[in-house]
Amino acid sequence: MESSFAAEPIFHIGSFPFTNTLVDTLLVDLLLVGLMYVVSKNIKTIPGLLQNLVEMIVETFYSVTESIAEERTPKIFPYFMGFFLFILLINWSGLIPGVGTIGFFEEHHGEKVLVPLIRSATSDINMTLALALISAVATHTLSIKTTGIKDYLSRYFSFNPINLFIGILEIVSEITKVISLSFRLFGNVFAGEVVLLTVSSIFAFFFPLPFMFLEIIVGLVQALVFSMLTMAFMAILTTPHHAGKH
Amino acid sequence: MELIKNFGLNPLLLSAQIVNFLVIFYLMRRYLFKPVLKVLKERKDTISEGLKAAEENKLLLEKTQAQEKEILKKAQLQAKTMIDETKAQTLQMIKDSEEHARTTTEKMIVDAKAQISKEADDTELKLMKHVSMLSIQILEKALHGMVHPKAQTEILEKAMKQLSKKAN
Repeated sequence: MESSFAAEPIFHIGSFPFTNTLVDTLLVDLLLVGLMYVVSKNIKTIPGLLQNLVEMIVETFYSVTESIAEERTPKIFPYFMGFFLFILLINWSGLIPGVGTIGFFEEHHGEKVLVPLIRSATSDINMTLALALISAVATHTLSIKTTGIKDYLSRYFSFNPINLFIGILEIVSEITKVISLSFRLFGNVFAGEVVLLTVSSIFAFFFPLPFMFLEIIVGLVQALVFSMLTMAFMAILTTPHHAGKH
Repeated sequence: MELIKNFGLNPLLLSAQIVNFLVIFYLMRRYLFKPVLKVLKERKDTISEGLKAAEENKLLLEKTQAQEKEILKKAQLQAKTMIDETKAQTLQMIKDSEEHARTTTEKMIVDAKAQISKEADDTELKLMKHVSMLSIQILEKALHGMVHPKAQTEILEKAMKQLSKKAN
């Protein structure tokens, strides 16, 4: 068995490689669309079991956002909750039996290598980078919308040399935020997959169970870390730049 | 570039994942978060309205209780005044009745006395007349045969005249 950083293409549509991580993404999409359909069709003032669960999660996340973002909560909350749900389901989808293990063999450098049909999408840098880029763009767009372009630019550019230097550092930090967000998620999930693959190849039964439980926690924590960092960045950038100086 | 290639970074896949997430994010926002938050808000509003109504009702109850106390106090005062007035009126009525009874009794006594006096006079007169008649009859029987009948008649007439004078 071999693990590669890059997602393996299952087939090609023209020059577009349809990878096993894309299959996982679409499956999670389907699951989310199903959840949306069921919840939106059966939503009632007196909730059922599923609605109760969804309401409990939404309310908890809304309260957390409210405690940090205060009056900007309605704008920030959908990103926080959206990133969390999507990343959590993708992370946990990698733990479903068959994901990463059912596939076909392919010749690779003269060796037969298993290409899984489905692979956790967050173990693909394209997915994590896409999420990090969306997070960054959404954060800056919200910042401009909330504080105004003048205040937004004053965060990075100034006629004062010290402030200008701090601004340049801020720009660098914005780039590193994207890199850290994407690589943290990618690294944790990919490492988890490698651990599970290695442990399973040593002994397939019972032995991987503790590691699977660990991966359930890692999946939850990583989803929380990504979404909470996005929420925190949004809360910081939507606060007027000079507000803290008074 | 080799590093990027090793990680499998592909602009097409990156774009596909961006588009995919944006679509699913829009759907989640529209069909999951919005209806759930709406229901939560409605429930929160209902609860806060209920609490507000309860608070208003509590205040109304307190106000009503205060009004009730005030009305009871007023009623008690009015009742006391009425009782006092009634007592005074009753006492006056008793006094008036007593006065009236006394006057009536006194008048009755006076009338009775007058009646008694009149009846006594009448009885005396009657008795006098009766005594006169008896006296005449006794005199007539006593004179019978002792004096001349003519003289007897004259005596009797004289006696009768004197008696009738006295009786009047």
